[in-house]
Amino acid sequence: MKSKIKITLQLYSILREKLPPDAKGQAVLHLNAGTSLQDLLEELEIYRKVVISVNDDHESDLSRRLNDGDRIKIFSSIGGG
Amino acid sequence: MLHGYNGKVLHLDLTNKQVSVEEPGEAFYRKYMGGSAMAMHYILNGMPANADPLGPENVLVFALSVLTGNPISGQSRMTAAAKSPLTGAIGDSQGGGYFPAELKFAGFDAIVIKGRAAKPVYLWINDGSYELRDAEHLWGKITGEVEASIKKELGDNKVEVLQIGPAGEKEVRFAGIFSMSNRANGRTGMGAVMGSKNLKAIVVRGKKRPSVADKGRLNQLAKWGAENLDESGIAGLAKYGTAETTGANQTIGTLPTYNYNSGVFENWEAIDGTTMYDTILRGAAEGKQDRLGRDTCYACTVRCKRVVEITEGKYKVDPHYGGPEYETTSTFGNYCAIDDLAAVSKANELCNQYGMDTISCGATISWAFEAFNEGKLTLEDTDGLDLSWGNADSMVKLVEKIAHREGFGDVLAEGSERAAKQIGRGTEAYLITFKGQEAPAHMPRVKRSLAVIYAVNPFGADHQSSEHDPAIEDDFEGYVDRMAVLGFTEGVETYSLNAEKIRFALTSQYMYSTMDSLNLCQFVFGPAWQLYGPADMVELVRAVTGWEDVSFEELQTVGERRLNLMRTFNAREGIDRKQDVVPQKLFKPLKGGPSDGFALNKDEFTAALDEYYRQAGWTAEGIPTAETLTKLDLEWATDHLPKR
Repeated sequence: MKSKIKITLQLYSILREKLPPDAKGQAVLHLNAGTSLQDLLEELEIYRKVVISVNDDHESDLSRRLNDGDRIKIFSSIGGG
Repeated sequence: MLHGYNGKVLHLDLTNKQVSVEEPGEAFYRKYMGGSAMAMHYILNGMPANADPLGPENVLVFALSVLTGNPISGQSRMTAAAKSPLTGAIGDSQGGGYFPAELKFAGFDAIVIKGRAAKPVYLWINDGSYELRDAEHLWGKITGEVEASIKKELGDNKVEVLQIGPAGEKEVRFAGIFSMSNRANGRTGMGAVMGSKNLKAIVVRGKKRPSVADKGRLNQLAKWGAENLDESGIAGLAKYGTAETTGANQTIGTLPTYNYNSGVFENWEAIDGTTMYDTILRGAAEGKQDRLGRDTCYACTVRCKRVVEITEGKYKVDPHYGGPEYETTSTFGNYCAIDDLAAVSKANELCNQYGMDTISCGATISWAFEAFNEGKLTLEDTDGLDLSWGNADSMVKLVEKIAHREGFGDVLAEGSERAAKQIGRGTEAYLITFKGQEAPAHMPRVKRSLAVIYAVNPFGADHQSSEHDPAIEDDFEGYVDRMAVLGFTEGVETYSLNAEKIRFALTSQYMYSTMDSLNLCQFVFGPAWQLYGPADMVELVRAVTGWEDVSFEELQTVGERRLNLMRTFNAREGIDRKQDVVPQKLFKPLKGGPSDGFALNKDEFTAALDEYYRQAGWTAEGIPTAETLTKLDLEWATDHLPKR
């Protein structure tokens, strides 16, 4: 049996709709150890341009493997505004 | 046959109450397309050099494009342009809503205004007819009251009212012009110009829909946009507003905080678009904010505008005055380290009631906050207001004092640059102004091409005058097809300011300049993440006008014409490279977060400026050459270049 890690996830703006409405974008996920940010995006079916922070630090390397206890925030991203 | 436009421009001389109608002809419309480029034709030709921006000689132009009023998202926008009382350079501002389409339906493509009325008046345009009416009874009233009063007076609830508030009457140098009491031609002080002319409002009503060359193709394009909105790059912006971008900016360190000394704000989530959606949009308590808390412009399916309602607590907010954009949550929020969304919304409401630009207003206040926190301003200077970082009550009070030009508010009503000159004591070091206009909430120390664009832009710092760096850096792979239309097949190294980055800045600036002449919304149309791309923009022009041989290159030339006419205007006023500078603060490193230590490099910036002028076809002093103007079919404008 593969070992599991627990992460907390917060999605913002339109990305929240990947989770049930009552969740308000928040979830605690139990993932297989070795799961990467790219794997997580695919799991969530997020294909748009996003900005991600891991434990409040910006992370642009989607191959980064997640660790137990990580706090992941994912934002949709536009260039202007 | 004319398609898309009326072929009529209204000229109004307020001094002697003369009105005339010009019919410029198809070649004129094809050359300028409308909006800002068209406005520059009238401003350069109609205004003498060195005119007082608050005097009768200033020419104020409202201009639509050949696309305005057609049934597709992102087209109901209008240019307001004149000499700016804030910068002394050309002023230019774009605004949306329903007024632009209604003006088109009323029979005109532009209004060119000079002179000064002896007493307050408003212009009433009704289906091709026009009259000046007394506005003395409206003077001093806030926007919502004026709107209601005029609708009652004319007996028609469907008229669209474009107006100045009391701040414009008092010539606050960053006063804007408003429709719907919440849509702003906000920037560069156009409201002060209108106030100086004693023109309180322009009211329009019309029934004439513009002719369309190919309705089928227009409908197809409109339908594609509506069907693809949810999967597009603006889906989040549509539902959660422009302030949805707060968190992303925080994460990459581009959220200007403590008056641009840091790129991160600890309490950003309190003023974020998602929080706004959950808490204060009208209907949020019942989960009905999608229906009740979002508004739109004529024929636009995006519905990005916020409608905030707060009925309890210290700051109550009337939904009639809309809700804050990202720029507004930033300048009144993170710029001032304020994490109170109700206070920020109140400041937004006050700006919409009194008629002021939220960017310059908030940024001028954040300049005062920094000066106070550095001990350069005291309670004696501020009428007893404590301007410690994060003091929301003082921020809201200052907005009111500025609108009334009361006490310290009268100092700030001149804009931060003039205020710093008046106060002295080294407070110039805290300025974030470009040509005297306060910077919007996008960070040039990280998005480096913005430093050049903010500096060279003829009307001062503007975040909507070029595509930002990520589109040619980390995000490039996502926009390959669209960027190829602009001539870019490879990305550029992140944070660079090399010749290729300058080419990107200039090329995208031409496209944004074109969009300000076609009066297209820059969230709906654009070169990268927007709903529609550059090829769609060409298709739209063809479908509406019937000019089937219009190309992207031709449209880019329209944008290039606008920029060159603006720079020619500035050169005539003695404004050139000497004023293409960035505030000293940007050469100092940011503090905290992922952008900690980021600063502009003086030598790199100077080299980038040289490269920009070279690519633009201007002299080393930043002045368009006669050859460049002639190449752009603007030979007439060479007469306005300074004599050597």
